[in-house]
Amino acid sequence: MTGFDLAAILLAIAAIFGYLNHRILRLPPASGMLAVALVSSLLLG
Amino acid sequence: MSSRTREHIDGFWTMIDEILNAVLFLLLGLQVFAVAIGPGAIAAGLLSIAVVLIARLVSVAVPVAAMSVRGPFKRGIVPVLTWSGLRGGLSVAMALSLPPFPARFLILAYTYAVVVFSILAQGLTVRRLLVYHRIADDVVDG
Repeated sequence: MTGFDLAAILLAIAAIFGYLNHRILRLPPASGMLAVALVSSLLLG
Repeated sequence: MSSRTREHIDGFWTMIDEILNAVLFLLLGLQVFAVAIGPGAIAAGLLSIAVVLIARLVSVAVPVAAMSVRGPFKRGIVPVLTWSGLRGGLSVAMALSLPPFPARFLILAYTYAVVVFSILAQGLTVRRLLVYHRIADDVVDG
């Protein structure tokens, strides 16, 4: 995986998680991003 | 630089800033994989949260008490300043940059617990504390 792929994946995940937070959780952007990323990591891991 | 140019440059960098900030907190959340979660790590994390909060309380209360001789502070300044000590990605980045040695995973667990607690528990409740102590008005800023 190149650095370009990595950046693209991270940006895409950030966009999806940000959208989820905006529509469902409605937390402030930074806290919401952390919460969604944390919960999804724990669910997957 | 014309005012129109300034406006566009400002908008461009604000956009970059917001995107990078979103990726930073995304990485912070995904970083939970780097922390070996177990009963020991969770207990260590809870303990370190308490230790950090008490240390913050002392480091706020002592200067406030020392400076109170020149005149009183607003009431509630010590709890507000204690609770509003939020931590970000820098502490986790520093913990991750440690070379491998036996206590590395413990330091990582401590740091991660403190950072996540400060962002999720303290960050989301600090406004209520400000309103309670009448330091901020009860307005919603989005």
